[in-house]
Amino acid sequence: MTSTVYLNLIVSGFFYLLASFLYIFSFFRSDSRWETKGFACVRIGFLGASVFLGLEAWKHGFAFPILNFSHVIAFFSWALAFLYLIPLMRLQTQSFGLILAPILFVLNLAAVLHSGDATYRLEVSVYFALHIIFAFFAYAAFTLSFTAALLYLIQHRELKKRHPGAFYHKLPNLDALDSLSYIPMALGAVLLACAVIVGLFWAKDTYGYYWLNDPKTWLTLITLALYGFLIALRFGAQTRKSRLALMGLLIFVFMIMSFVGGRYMNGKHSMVLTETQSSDAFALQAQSKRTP
Amino acid sequence: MSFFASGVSYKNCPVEIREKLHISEPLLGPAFEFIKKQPAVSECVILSTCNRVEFYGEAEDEAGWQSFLKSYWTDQRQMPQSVLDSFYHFRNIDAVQHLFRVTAGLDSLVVGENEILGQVKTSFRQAHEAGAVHSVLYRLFEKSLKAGKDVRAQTRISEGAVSVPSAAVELAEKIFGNLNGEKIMVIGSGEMAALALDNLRTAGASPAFVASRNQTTGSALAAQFGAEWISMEQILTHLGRVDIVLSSTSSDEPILKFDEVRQAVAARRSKPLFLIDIAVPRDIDPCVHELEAVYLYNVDDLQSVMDANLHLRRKQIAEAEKIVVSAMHEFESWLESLRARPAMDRLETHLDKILSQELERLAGRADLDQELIRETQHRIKSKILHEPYQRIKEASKNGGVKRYLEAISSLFNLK
Repeated sequence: MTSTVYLNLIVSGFFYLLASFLYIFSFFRSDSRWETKGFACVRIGFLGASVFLGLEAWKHGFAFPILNFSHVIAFFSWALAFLYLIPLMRLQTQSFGLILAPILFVLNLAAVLHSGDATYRLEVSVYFALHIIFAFFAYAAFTLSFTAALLYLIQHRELKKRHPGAFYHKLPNLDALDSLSYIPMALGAVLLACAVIVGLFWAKDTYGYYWLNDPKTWLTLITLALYGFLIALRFGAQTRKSRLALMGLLIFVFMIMSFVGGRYMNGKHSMVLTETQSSDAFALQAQSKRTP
Repeated sequence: MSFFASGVSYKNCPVEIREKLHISEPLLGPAFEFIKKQPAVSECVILSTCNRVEFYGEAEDEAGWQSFLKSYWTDQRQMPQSVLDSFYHFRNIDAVQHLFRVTAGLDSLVVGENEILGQVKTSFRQAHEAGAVHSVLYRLFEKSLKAGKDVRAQTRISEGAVSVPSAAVELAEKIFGNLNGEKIMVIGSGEMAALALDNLRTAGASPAFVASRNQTTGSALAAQFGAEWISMEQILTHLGRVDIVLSSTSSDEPILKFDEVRQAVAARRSKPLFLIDIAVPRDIDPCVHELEAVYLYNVDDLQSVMDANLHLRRKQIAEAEKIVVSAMHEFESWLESLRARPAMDRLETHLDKILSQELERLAGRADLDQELIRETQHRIKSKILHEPYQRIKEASKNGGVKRYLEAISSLFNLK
């Protein structure tokens, strides 16, 4: 059954890979027909990933389908594709596809490679589900913002060197890239703030107190503060946009490190689920301790 | 009947001769009157632009076409006969291909340029209004204009700026996106500055200041674009308030120095500044490009943008040629089926004659209604001719019509 369900993720990954090749082909051949096909492949890949998550939820009695590290990556990849395809349609340009399609493929591949990870049948509270949804969509939005910031710096460099190469022709203008970086960043910051707030309620509900003094919580707050600072700088309009884009890249790298690092740090956000120590198992233990 | 395309272009004829051969609008009327009097030429379109002077037409034979050309240029336009030596000539499918390539911009000095499409359209309209175009050239030009549009829509052959003013606009759009609201300052009042300013204004930017030493010419340019004239000494005061600066003076000394631009940029907070220096010697200190929010382009830099765009256009030629060839085959197919028409008309008449004789005889014996006779005759004829028409239609796509027509004429002894 597991392998049958994961087949959807493999098919999804195949289409993301195909989309990557089509975008690359379109980029070097200057032929927009391949770009349209690439975009269609991303949509098919997204459908495959949606079916995978749906089946995984169904398989576990309609549980929230984040039960192991494989699910974590698959859900993040799905959230990224969702934001790219539906609410942030402005991003659907060849240059974004060129960067995002390979990222989606790598994430799907990683999810498939972790398919053997232990899965737990966990009772998940509404607070926990909302916390995860907000957090993952925030990370997906920051990834899109990162992509736009990266493209901004490439286009800025193209314009600065005064001998236009392939990117000069293919990338959107600086002003558009700046907006395309800022909009997902603002969205991501709001979503991350929501994740933190809901997380406080989840902690209170589960452990009896609001503040979980673990490394991941601190890293998330630092990430939020850094993005908030960046947004404030942009509003202030004093800092050069290329510098803002560079800062955006650095904060994203910090966020990824804190995201991946959180997996290995001891604490209630640890994604290394073992028989005796998983975040929700830990929570359930705590709950049982509080209940006489 | 054959198609012909004859003329000169920038490729084989210097501008000194082309300007003499140019057929301006007042000369078009007499030219078409002359053409209509030519018994050998049935249809003709004249395409006269700064890069080419060409005649496209249908004539009985090559001798008739050459004779028409000779009499037009030597008798009508009083040119020496030697002028015809520089003419190129294309016949039939080569002439069709030449027209299609010209309309697609594949034969242009700047590959993929859009202007030629409009010029071909205008030439066609003028010839049509003068009564020099009938069914065949009408179809040919219609197809050619459609192929020209398809080439531009389906390939990227006309993308990218290939002139200094349009390169300035392209770069400004790469920096600011939409140019609506972006303010321009022009330093100097030369022709190129005016041209670039016009392009930027068309793209949505607002001319704000014209700075020049000569107040008369500067004010005139400022008034033309709704801008304000300022003296050269006032440039620095207003530099922080504009987004695009276009400089083209003949000054030997730099007009904008590094420190001055740095101060202006600091006042603009995070907004970028686009400087276009088309003056030689340069008006703007090249070091200002090192400032992060400044994009400085001089004439050579603009040239490298244009070269890159031209290179990109050239990469699209193969795709464009495919569209041209496909459109050419469609036209050939139509022409083939058109050529089959007289022979098929003769076959229809022949069948009508036999059928009416036989059915009349039958009607006399069986006392049949005349309406029924006509209906039966029409049905039998349609059924007999259905298959040959289908075969000819298919053959018209691969050039086998002639063989069928010869067979029909020979088998039914049609003359």
